[in-house]
Order: sequence, then structure tokens, then C-alpha cells
Amino acid sequence: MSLMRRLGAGSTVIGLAAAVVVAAGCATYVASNVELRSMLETGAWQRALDRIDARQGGRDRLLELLQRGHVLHYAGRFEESNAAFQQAEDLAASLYTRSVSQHAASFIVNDLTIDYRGKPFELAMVPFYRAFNYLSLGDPDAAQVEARKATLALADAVEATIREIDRPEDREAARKLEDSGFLHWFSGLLFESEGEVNDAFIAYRNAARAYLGGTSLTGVPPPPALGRDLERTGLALGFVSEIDDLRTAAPTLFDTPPNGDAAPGGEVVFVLETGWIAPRDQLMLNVPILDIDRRYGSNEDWAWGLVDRTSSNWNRSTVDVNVKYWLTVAVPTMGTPEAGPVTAVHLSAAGRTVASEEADDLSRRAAATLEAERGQMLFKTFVRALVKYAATQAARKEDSTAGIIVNLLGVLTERADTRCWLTLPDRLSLARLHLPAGRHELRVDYLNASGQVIHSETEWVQIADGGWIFLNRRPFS
Amino acid sequence: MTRSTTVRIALVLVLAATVACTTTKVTRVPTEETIDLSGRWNDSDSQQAAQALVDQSMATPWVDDYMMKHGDKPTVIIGTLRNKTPEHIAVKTLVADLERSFINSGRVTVVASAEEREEIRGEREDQQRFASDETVKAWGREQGADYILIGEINAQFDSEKGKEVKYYQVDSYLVDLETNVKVWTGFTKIKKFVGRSKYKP
Repeated sequence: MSLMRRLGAGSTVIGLAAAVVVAAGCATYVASNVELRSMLETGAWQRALDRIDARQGGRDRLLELLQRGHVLHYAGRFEESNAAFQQAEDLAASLYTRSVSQHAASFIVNDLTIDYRGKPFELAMVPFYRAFNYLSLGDPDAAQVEARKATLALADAVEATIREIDRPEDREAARKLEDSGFLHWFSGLLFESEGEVNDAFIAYRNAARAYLGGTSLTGVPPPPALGRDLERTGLALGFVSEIDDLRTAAPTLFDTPPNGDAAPGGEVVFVLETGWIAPRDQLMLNVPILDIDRRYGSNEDWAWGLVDRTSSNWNRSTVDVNVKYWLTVAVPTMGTPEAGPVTAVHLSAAGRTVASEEADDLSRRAAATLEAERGQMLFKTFVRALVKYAATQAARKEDSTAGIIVNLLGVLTERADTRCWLTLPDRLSLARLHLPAGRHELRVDYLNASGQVIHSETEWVQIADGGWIFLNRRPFS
Repeated sequence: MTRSTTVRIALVLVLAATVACTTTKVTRVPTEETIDLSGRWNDSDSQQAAQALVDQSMATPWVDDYMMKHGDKPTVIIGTLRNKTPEHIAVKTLVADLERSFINSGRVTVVASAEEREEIRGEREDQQRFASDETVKAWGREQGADYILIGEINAQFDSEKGKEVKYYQVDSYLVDLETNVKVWTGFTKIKKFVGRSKYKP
């Protein structure tokens, strides 16, 4: 083949390669969208919405809707926020049906060719924000619906995740994501606020079990206030023996002094959202193709073999073999969460002061989710890398230029799926203040990690006997 | 790869993109036609539940008992139906369907709800100032209800591997407003199977 013909064919393929690369995008999702965070920090809600809308369409539609609903929530546009979140929930449900063409493309290009379906902990936060939207709109009945949806949403999303996973050990890890103590607790508080004491007790009991069983997942122990809620509602319903059983099984849960919440009056529930959730980053892995790899009967077996090679336990020096080729693959890895300037609050009113208690760690949930998905994700990445490797080898046999171009195409399209709901907080804390009926000036002191007050604000709250007030605040800066 | 191959690939891609473009198509359908899209509670469920509850209610002797005792039709007000499901249900639609089914039965009189009464009283108050003496409506002539219909909607959802069974139960009670005696209780059930395809093209 003449040099000119080679260049002619090469330029055509380069053109196609460029088109595919353009289609695959350049920067990672996080790098392209992280400026949303700085917009929220300055309260530039409309700019953030414009930024989200500018990217409308494509495979990230679910993230656009989630982030749109989230920004609208903070902007106080609660009805619009609910509309966006409803669209997100509908889309997430429809994405249960997998697109064969998208999945086929993902085995050649990368996982960004697949519609983003949302992670379980992300989809479970939608009812939380929607509940606050409805409470702000004066519709507590609709907030109750969201409370009932919250834990179902999490279980459904985990089920959809498990469906994508082959290895039993990875499925088992994914199943641990199925429960959230915080969501059960928050649901229980909403139930109790509407006088549904039985539903509240069941939710508190589920919360206690989830916290006790999930401490290793999130690092968050059962909050002391949960024990009081469980005891109060359980005894009100006459479930004395059940409370005693729980006290025996988990004595620390009840090891808290009473806070006077049995006295007449009402309750302030304050949810503090702090920091920024750990995003997903891209990590380039170099994994060797060995001369003995021809022993694998299929690409699937070979890919699982390569997954094992990424393990820290794998030691090449114990194997007397030669490296034939280095496969370079892009995989998602967890970035670092940002704690933010505020880590806790003190609530004060009517001569009483309470501190917030840590309730959930979304960054650790994100990390546990990635860990559960890791085996399957690596397997798929290596199947794709082997397809690219085989294409490169085949092209190289035909023509060295074509081999170089196909290899280049493979490298340029190798991108990790780092898509994630970037505007979520890192952690959630909860403060509870029981107040006598009447009008009170509620003081909120925001504290940094050293326990120093860095900002304070006050607002008037009207407390009714047996009434509940729910507040959520996100100090962005 | 030759230039002609590239051109062919490009043509196929353009054709695929054209075919993939979606257009909005709107078709009018009869309102009584049942159309299930998401599997959530919809207008058909509301009408079906309302009709079933009213049919059950009319098949029991409380209306006849009342008529024998008072010589007139009982007056009913539709109270609150609490939504205790994990779905946003248009309870007002169900209440309206219940009212319509009760009125159409011809055996009971239905009076306006608390929310509607506020509006009507506002209008009557307005009449006191601006309407002629011949047409102004008097205060204190409202018809009080004998019974209030209250109830709740519960649901149980069970799902696995893209399949979901949704079970709704609407429980309702007719309560004597003077004595708190429940003169009738009824319930209706709706069960749905929602199957999602695992794959699409």
C-alpha cells in the first residue's frame, strides 16, 4: 500500500475517531459540572439552573432533573422543585428497562453511552427533599406520602443495582445498601407529627435496626434522640415487652437522659446538611496482558482474570511469565468529600439549648455503593478493553497505520463513568428541641469543626401543643 | 477502510438519527376508557372505587332504616379520605366521584363540603350587601348533614425483578353525626400487576 493511500485511509478513520471522541465527551462529568457547587455557594440559583438547562438532553438527563429539583428546593421554588423531582422519579423508573443498543455501545466506547440511572442513595434522597417541599407548601399529607416512599425508593434502587451484578459476593455487598437509618427515622418523625404513632414506632424500630446494622457502612452510630423516640412511642402504644427486648439487644440505644419531650408542648426538628458529597474521580489503571493469557477460554473468563490482577493480593513476581501488553483502562474511584465550614448547630429557645447529632454520611454511602459495584464495573471495563485490544491487534496485522489509529481510538474513548449527583451534601445531622406551646424566638448557632460559632441566625416559631415544626438548612459558605 | 465505506457508515448513522427522532402524537380517547401507563393510581381507579363503595352502601339497609324513621332521604357529607399510600393520589377526585355516585343513586342528599361551604358563605355574605331583597338568600337555612362519610386509602406494594404488584384498599365508613354510630362500613380493593420490560432496542 502506498504512503498516500495509507494516509488517505488513515485520515478517514481519524475523522471517525474524532467523531466518536467528540460523542464520548472530553472532560469527566465531575470536571464539567463542579462549578455548580460554586454557584450554590454564592446563592446564584438562577445561574445554576441556567447551567443545568444548558446541558439538557443526552445520557445525563436524570442527573439534570435531580440537580434541577435540588437547586429549585434551595431557591424556595418548591412546586417547581417537586415537578423536576417527579420527572426524575418517572425517568428513573423507566430506565429499569435497559437499552440493548446503549449497552452494546458501552462495550465498544465507554459506560457514558448508557443513560445514567442514579445510585440508590441518590434516588432515596428525592423523597427527603420533596417532603420538605410539601411541608413548606403547607401540605403535610403529601409529605407523609414522601415519608412512605423514602425507604421503598431505596429498596427499589438497590434491587435495580443488584440486577446488574453477577458475583454473589458483590450482590451481598450491594444488599447492605438497602437500609438507611436516617430515612426510617425521618419518616417516623413525619408519621408522628401527624399522629400516626403506630407507623412512627415501626419506622423508629426499623431506623434503630438499620443504624445498628449499618454503622460499619456509614460510621454513624444510632443517634441518642432515636432511642428516646422509640421509647416514647413504644410505651405510648403499650409495647413494653418489645421495648424491653430492644433495650436488651441494644442497651446503648437507650442510654440517654430524658429531654423532657414527654412534657406538654411541641417539637422542632432541624435537619442540617453540610459539606459536599465525595464525587467520583477517574483513575487510569495499567494491567498486564501476559503471554499465558491464551489459556482463557473466553473473553469473559479473561476479563475476570484481569479483575483479579487489580487486586492488591495479586503478585506478578510469583508467576514466571512475560508481559505481552499493558492494557490501560479508566475506572471510577472515590474523590474526597468536602466537609464545609459548618459541622454542627446549637438550637436555643425558651432557655433550652440542644446540639445536633450526626444522622447520616452520604459520602460513605457513595463509597460503599462504588465498592459494591466495583467488581462488575471492572469486569465490564476489561471486556471492553479486550475488545479494543483485539481490534488493535487485528488492525495491526492488516496495516500498521490502521493499528495505530484503532489503538488511538481505543485510548481516546476510554473514560470512566464519574457521573454523580454533585450538589448533595456530605453529611446530615439532626437537632431536636422540645418547647412549650407558644411563640418562641429560635436561635440557630452554626459551629465549625472546633466547636466555635461562626454564624448565628434567629427566627420566630409558633409551637402548638402536640405540634411539630420541620426545618432544613444548608449553610453553603 | 475506504472512503466509500465511510460514506455508507455516515449515511446509516444519519438515517438512524432520523428514525430515532421522536414526534409528539396526540390522540383523543373516550374518557371511560381505562389507560394504564405507569401503574399508579389513576382516574379509572378513582371512578371504580367510588362506584363500588356507593353500590355497597346502597345495598345495605341504612338508607331504608333512615327513611322509615324520618320519612325523608338522609343527608350525607363526604368528609376526609386519608391517603396512607406511598403514592400521591388525587383524593379530591375520589371525593368528587363519591359525591357524584351518591347523588346519581337518587337515594341520598349530598351537601357541600367544609371547603365549599366557605366559598358559598362568602357569596351569601356578598348578597347581603349587593343583592335585591327579592333575591337575597337568608342566613341559617343550610341543611345539616345526618351522616359523614370518612375513610382512608391504604396500599401494599411488592416488587421483584421488574415486576410489581400493587394492592390498594379503600376503606370508608358512614358515621351518624349526632351519635357517632357507624351505620355502614365498606371497602373496595384494586390490585394491579405492573411488568417492566427488561430490554428495549
